[in-house]
Amino acid sequence: MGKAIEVLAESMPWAGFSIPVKSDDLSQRPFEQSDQRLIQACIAGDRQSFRRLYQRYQHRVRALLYQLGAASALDDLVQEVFLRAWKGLPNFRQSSQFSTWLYRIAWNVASDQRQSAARGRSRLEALSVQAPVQQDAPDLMHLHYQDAVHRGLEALSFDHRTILVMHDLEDISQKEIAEILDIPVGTVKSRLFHARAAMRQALDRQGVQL
Amino acid sequence: MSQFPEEDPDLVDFLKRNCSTPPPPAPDLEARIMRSVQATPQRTTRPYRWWAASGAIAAAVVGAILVYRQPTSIDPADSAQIEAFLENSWSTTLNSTPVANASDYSEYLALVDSTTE
Repeated sequence: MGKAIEVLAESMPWAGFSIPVKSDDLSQRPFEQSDQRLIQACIAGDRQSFRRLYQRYQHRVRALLYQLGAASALDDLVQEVFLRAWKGLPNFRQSSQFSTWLYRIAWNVASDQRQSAARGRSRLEALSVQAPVQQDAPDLMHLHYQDAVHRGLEALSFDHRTILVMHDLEDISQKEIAEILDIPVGTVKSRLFHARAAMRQALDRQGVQL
Repeated sequence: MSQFPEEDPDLVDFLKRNCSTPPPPAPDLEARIMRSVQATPQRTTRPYRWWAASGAIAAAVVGAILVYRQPTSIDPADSAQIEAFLENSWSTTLNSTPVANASDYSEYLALVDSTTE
């Protein structure tokens, strides 16, 4: 009964109330197929199930790629991530989470893009002069802070940027980051510590005191 | 206790409030991706093919060993011929040895004595 109310409340946001639902319950909602089922359907050749997976994860993939510095040609890179995922789905080991696997692909795509950009006249260089996306009528202080964060991220090494973005901006747990990057959790902790210190220094240089 | 402090709420909060957001996707991005997916076959490693290949290799190796170790069969006629040849060459060898025949040997010694005198 309680579960039915939760589902009802979730499906009727206009009702004006919300009840927190555990993330584990998401896969058990009647209208939401679990990742696992969608993946199995994809492997069986059902492309509509892949569309559902895309719709479910595209925001997170997009945000991760963007914060990792792959802002130019972002649509192309998102497409590359999902195409690699589609091709590789039959080899996906369901012992790990789909999101972890997908983040790993996204990180690989961002790394590849970074390397190819470093070789030639880069998209990334274009990014460094690209103004951050502005919200509607932002105040000047917010604009300044936004620019400071953008520059701070640019100043970090790719390893530090990856950890900071994944953990502090995308709320991925340290354990999951360790899985995505295939490094020990201790290394994640260490890199996070140094990344934050470097970010603080970068912000400090731009006159931002926390 | 961890060597690295795990929390830095001031910094994390500041970053979250001030990080720029990605631009919205192109309206046709989803359709584009689905078209690519439609045109792209999935990739399978098919491990059973590796098993089949390794089985074939193992079978070939075992077969080669068996063939190598199997005694070659000889035609009975050839066998008799070979045996006769061996017997003949053996006895010839024995008969040509000076020690084998005492009379021949004594004649040989007599000849040697006559030439040395």
